[in-house]
Amino acid sequence: MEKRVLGGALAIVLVALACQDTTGVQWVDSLILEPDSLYLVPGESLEFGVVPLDQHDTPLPDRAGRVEWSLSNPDVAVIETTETGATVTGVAPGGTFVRVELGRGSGIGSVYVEPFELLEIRIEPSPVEVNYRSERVTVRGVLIGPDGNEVPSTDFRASWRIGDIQTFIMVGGQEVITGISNSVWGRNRGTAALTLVVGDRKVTTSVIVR
Amino acid sequence: MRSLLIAITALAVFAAVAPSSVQAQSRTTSAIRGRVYGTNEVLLVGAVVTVRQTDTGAERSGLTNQQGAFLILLLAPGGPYTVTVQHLGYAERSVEQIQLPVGETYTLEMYLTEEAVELAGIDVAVDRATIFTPTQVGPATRLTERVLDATPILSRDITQLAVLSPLVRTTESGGFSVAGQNDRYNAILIDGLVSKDMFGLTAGGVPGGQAGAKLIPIDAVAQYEILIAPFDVRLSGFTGGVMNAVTRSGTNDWRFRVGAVHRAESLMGDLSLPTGPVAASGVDRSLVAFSVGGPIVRDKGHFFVSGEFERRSQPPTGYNLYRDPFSLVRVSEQSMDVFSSLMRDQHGLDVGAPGIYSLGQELSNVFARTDWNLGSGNRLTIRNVFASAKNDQSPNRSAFLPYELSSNAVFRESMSNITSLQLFSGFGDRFANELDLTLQVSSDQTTPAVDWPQLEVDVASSVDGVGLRRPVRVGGQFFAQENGLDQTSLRITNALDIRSAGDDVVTLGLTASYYDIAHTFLPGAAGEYYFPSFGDLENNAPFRYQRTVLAEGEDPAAKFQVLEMGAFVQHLMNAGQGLTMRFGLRLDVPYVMGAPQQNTKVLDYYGYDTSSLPSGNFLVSPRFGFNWQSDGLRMTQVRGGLGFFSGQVPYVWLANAFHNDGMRSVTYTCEGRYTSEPRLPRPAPPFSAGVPPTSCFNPDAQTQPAFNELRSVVVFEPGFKYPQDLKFSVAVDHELSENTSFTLGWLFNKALNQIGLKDLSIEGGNTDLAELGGTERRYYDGVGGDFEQLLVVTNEGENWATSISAELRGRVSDRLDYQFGYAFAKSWDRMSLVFQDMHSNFGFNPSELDVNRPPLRTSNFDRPHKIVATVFGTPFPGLPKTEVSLLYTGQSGLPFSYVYNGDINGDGYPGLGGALDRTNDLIHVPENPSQAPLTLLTAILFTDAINNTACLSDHRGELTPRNGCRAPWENRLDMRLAHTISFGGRDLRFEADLINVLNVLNSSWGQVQTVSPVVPLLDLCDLGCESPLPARWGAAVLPTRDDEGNLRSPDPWTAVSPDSQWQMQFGMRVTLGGNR
Repeated sequence: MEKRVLGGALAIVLVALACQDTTGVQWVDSLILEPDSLYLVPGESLEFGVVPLDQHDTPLPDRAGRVEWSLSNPDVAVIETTETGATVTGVAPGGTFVRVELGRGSGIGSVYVEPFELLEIRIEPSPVEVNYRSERVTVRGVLIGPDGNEVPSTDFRASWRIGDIQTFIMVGGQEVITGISNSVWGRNRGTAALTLVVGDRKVTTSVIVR
Repeated sequence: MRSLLIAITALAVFAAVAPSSVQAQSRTTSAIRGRVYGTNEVLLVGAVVTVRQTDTGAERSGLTNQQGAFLILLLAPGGPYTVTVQHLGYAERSVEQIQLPVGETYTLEMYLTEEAVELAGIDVAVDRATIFTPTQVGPATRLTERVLDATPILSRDITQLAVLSPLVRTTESGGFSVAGQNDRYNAILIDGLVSKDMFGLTAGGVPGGQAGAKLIPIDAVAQYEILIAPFDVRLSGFTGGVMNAVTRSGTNDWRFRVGAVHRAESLMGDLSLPTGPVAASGVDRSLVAFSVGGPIVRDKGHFFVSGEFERRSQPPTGYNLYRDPFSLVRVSEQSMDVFSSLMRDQHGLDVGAPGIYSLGQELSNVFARTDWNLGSGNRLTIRNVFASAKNDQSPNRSAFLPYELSSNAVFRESMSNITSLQLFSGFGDRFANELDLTLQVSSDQTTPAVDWPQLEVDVASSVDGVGLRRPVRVGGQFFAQENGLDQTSLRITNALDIRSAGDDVVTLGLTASYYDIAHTFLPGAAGEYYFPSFGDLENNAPFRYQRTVLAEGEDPAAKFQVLEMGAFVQHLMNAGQGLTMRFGLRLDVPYVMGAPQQNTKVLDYYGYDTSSLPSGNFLVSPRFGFNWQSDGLRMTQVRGGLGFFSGQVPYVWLANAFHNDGMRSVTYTCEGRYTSEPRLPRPAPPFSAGVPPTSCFNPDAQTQPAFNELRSVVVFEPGFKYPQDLKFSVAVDHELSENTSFTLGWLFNKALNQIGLKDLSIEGGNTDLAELGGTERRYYDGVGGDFEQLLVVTNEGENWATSISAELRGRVSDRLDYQFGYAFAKSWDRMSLVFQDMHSNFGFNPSELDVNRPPLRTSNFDRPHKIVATVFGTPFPGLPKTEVSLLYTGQSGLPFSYVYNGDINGDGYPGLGGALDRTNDLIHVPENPSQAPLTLLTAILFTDAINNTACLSDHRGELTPRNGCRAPWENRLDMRLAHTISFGGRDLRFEADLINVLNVLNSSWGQVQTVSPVVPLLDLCDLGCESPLPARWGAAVLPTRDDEGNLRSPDPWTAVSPDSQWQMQFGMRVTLGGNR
């Protein structure tokens, strides 16, 4: 009889251990937009990808198709949602923000529609030589259009990226500075890279501080 | 998966340690076990034991085993049975007149004498209290045919007999709470088979209960049992209790019975109101009943048919205009005349009767059963239970709530048919099988009295020049505007008993139930308007409008199916020395087929999937029970058990998820009175009885939507499990004398999975406390997402209950049977879930601090004390056929909470107001009301209420706790006097029932008081107020003046009519043939 009683008790203990499986809830807590900027020319289409992340940063790719997309300036581009992101088609030169929203997540990207595709970009002078803390040297971006001639920079968004801000600085004092031309001022002796970014193109030269 | 593996392992362990060996019987059958002794108490092996039901000729037999023991299974409950034992060399011996309690095992010890000494012997069974059976484990109350015949039940509704258990309390919604559990969590069985409204439309659980249907004709019931905690794994689907009606079967004797009952207003006492007595009026009841039973083939086949047909009429319960004093009704005759004229002249509508009018009810019940003895101990039973009901539901006339005219009444109609088949088969001495098959079809339809929208108008009234308001409602009742239910269910169960060579029985069983449900529920489909005054009504300038519209292409009915599968194994073990033990294990798994739409907004913002319902989650219920019986002349029995009980979610709560997926329907709302410069952007449109408005009043359709939109959501959390409780009970029964026994018991209940609700739209918002209404409260201003009132159904509810009960039962000089019982029971929970609608369950759950994490407080089902006393028999010497029965029940009053009428904590409740008012903000009791932000009159009345109400005065300076207040104690004494005249094989029985005897003695005694679980005592603010501060005495409540002329706050409870009045009814029945 003892065996039987013990068996019954053991069974009850085993069953009591049978705790329930619980699955946590997953809401969309943030959105990753990839890339964060697109550069197009009118009529050209490029894709944004989006990855919803839950509250634990776990990707929820199956929900990407539900992300809501909106443009701050619909005159510049049109956007069409896909299962994994959105396709943006350039309409007219200009810039617009892209806003994505789903659940509690949101994000902002940008779209720049340029009038045409550049053939080349250059930095002048190249390399840049500057005396230590005694002079400012003007640097300029040169944009070459499809016909091989220099084109005005007004329809393009250009920015400078400084390789080492301890070596030299530019007007504005930041690591990234917008504008097609600027001046370099040597901060410490040495050499550092200077990059010009125009749309999705970039060119790099050296800045030598003597 | 892990759960399943462990459970399967546990089952395997059971099988391994279960040497087959006792006695088993289902909730549909009984059993007899015992031992046979020869000379010098030698156990006799191979004795032939035959059990014969003398009325039907049904017979089963078996042999005694090596221990001289026999066990006869699958016997029909009741009797009378004769047990005969034969053994070579010994004289045959019989015991007659054995009555078997359903679901239990009768024990018998037979002593044979050698043939040379005595030829044969016949004994009559000892009538021991049915509690003394070795399979009795948990607390239970069993009512034999004799008790059923003797008990005066006004309604002739068998389920009402549950009040005879001291552990059963009646609830505010008319159901029964068993040991403090939710009244929707009970199982209702007929002959052991589920016969419940699984959808849970009503708390009582009777199919068609919404229309007041009765379960079964009372003449069809032979036994009734109320099981509080049965540790038998064959029973499942409840975490409350089990109520099982055992029906009569036909016998070899023909039996005819016809009867009639009549009651009229002349046989009723006055209704005692706080302002004085009011004469009974408009009450009438006529009932005819018949039953017939007899043989189809003698000793082979029998039938029994019973029918009961009833008509009732009565006035609306509560305080009625023209009949009751103005201070109680709180709307004047003049104001109703003005109201009626306005609606007739301006809109051509009849608002209906503001005073008393006749509410009709028609009930029909037909029961039919046929039983066939198939030979070799096999039996087949087929039965059909039909019930229909039509009921004019009373409009509300109780205190503290809007006064409803007859156009706001509701008609209910229900039909239910349950067909079942039971096949009992024996395979030799070792195997017995029971196969049950049940088909249940039911329909419940609700119709508003009129098809135009509901109107709520605040009507000004005054007492001694003090102006106050009471809302009055007319038009199609909000919740009845689209409301209907059709259900079909099919259930099959098979249980195989395997008896060991010894004395144990292992039962293996499988069960499957399939439910097909179509539920239509679109409250406010015709719309609702609110007018703050007659002036607004006259100008047709409502303050609020709302209407719920189904999305295009949606079916008005939510359709879904549920499949519930279960398996169980049980080992009933005779451990010797009087000890019987029961180990059982049950697995249940429900599958919901069909799903609501997936609302991706809810999924992405809150992470909950509206299309996911609780499906495929295993419930494992291990149970252990024991019973130890002492030897000796006066038996002592110790019994008890420990186990898990798995219940069901009333499907109406599942249906909430279909109706509230945030997509299926939308509630259009407009708020604000239109003026040339409306304060709110979308004011209410003018009232129209015909075509519903297409927009709020004059909105700028180009720049803003036509309506405000409200989309409500109910979603189940992932992994949600059906309710499951742990129960533990222990009891001692002792025979004090030959006819007297005493029971003392303790029961403990804790929910393992209990349903809770959380509103996600306020979750994670502001958690700061703010000074509100004189105290610090959490203020919810952080409502997020696109939804308001987004409820998630969780398992985070909790409840605890415990009770101690004592019962004394016995017989005095063979003339009078008596039973006295008392139980003290306490029950706590986080929310009590008393409504069909989950938003009401959440919104009417008052809570201090965080409404999403309510503290454990007194449950709505908590009525701590209950006394039951019954005495019945033939007390008059020389009049053996004159019976007297007395039934007394006394119980603590219903609990309730005082709340503010308004949303002081900004949690979104009461919400829209009017029909969707759900008040949940507990009253703060100021130290000194005169210093609180109250008007002078309110301060006077509030002071009076605090001084005269312990639950308020005990909480000065703090919030009142949920259910901290209680209605008065209820006493009820009913009496029956019956006399039977026998002549020529006929019995003519006359019955006179006097219901509520105490009320005859004193009109203020015997009052049954009902009270809403939440009583809005203070209005927060008048329309247009900027800040929600308590400003005014509750709109629905007018004060009265006492004898000294002082203003008194009214009682929040209302005497239920006609239950609070004494009533007489007379019945007569003629019985031909038979012995029952």
